Amino acid sequence: MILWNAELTKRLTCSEREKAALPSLVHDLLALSDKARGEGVKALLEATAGEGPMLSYGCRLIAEGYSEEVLEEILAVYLTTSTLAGLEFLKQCVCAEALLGIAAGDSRDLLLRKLAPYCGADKATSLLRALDAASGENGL
Amino acid sequence: MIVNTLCAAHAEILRRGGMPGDLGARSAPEAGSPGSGAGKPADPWPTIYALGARKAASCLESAKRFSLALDKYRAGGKERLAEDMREEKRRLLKFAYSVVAASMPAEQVRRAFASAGFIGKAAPQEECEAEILIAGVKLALKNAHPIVAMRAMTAYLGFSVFDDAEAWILEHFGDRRGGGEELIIPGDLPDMLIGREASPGAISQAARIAGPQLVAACLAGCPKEAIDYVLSLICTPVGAILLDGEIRGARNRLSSEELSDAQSAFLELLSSIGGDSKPQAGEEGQWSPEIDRSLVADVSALILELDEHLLKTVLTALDPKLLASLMQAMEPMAHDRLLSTIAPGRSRKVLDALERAVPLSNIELTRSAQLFAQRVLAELAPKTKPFGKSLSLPARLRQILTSILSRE
Repeated sequence: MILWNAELTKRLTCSEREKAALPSLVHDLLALSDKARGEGVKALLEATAGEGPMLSYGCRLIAEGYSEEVLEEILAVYLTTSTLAGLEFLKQCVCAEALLGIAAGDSRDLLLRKLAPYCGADKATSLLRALDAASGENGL
Repeated sequence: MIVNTLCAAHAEILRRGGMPGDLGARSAPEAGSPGSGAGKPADPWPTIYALGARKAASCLESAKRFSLALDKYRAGGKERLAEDMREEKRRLLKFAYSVVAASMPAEQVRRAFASAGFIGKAAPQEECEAEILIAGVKLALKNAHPIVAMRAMTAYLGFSVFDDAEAWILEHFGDRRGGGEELIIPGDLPDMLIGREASPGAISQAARIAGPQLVAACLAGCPKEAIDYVLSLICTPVGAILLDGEIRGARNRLSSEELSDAQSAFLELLSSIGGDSKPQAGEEGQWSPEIDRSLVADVSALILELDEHLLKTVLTALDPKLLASLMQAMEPMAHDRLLSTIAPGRSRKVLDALERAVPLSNIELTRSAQLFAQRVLAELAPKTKPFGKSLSLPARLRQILTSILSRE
């Protein structure tokens, strides 16, 4: 079940135009998860060293090896107590979701299915269609 | 989905109408807040609390003191916590310790803080320190490690204190690494790790999927070299302290059979991830395909059947290299008995010999087993036994010895 909170909804709100920036963020995060799967979590630390705080510190939290539950609680506190709102807040939520997926060892497909909904219904559908098409080409 | 956790966090931390009005703007940190001030970069992650330097330092200090008290509590129980409670001057920390000592359910902690007047009276932005301690108390009641509590508590102060918290953790808990008796459960996993047969990416991925507890359980039976290798691949120094603690806990808590099962499960996971790892997963992977399983069963049964004194006498008389080759034809439970029967110094020699040994063929294993069985028989035979009289042996022992010695 997905919970709902009015304050959170208000804080996540941004225009469709602003949301257009999200698919490229999702692609970047998928590339990061590919790196984690291929080269290990230490490679993530190097790759995100110059990125924003959520990604760079988040990867360090992954490498500290907390349980998924604890990691999720910690990331949620960082997000909730931040002064961010709108698109910037939404982007950081997507990053946090990706970090949790990477920490859990999610496959690329599963991670995309978790991240795509943040882009809004239309973009999520097209991202998932692209995924299905790619899976078909690969004979999956 | 983090959305659910965010909903809960918003409901608890910000409460209804608790959102600061100016959200959305990445405002520069107020003068004196962590990371601000002359020569310091702007706070990369401003928080709704917008704490001044003094208040932020005070909150960080509370988190450190709570983590240290939690560490003492885990080691010495409520008595140690009571000492801290008596000595503590700050009401909020004193109350936090009392809630931990009361062992109340974690879900009731927030209500307890509210009833005591520490939250809910002022705007949420004014109650950072109480929120920090609520997070710490909840984790303490779930028996979390102080490092986990420290990280969760300092999250309320934003990322600007992340490095300071890490330095403090390493200073106070860094010496927890290493130590503890090495325990080796022979199997494919240690060999594969030491032989670098799996890619770092695959090991790292398998460790994340397995989670810290299974990783700790499977590493608990591995040599130090293998443990250090895995920790260097998957952890930062802080993570290594935590995992090292879990490994020591697993050695105390789990039987050698459970540790062996954990190794098999991890191997299976590694092989399912694929990449360039080449583990031999599953039960079949425990032994090379051509190994004579009935010989393994007989040798293991013989080790487990013998009384301790006799086993010790026989093992003491045998060369460590022979014992090492014998261990190649033995189940984990028999390994345990063998290694716990001989003196620690000798057991190290056997393990060293085992590490250097190449896998033996069935013929060689059979010869080792027969030498061992003959030595057992020699010890069982009374020194003054009249010639021509058959040796009186328990039926089960006789059956095992016969089975080993009659092999060709």
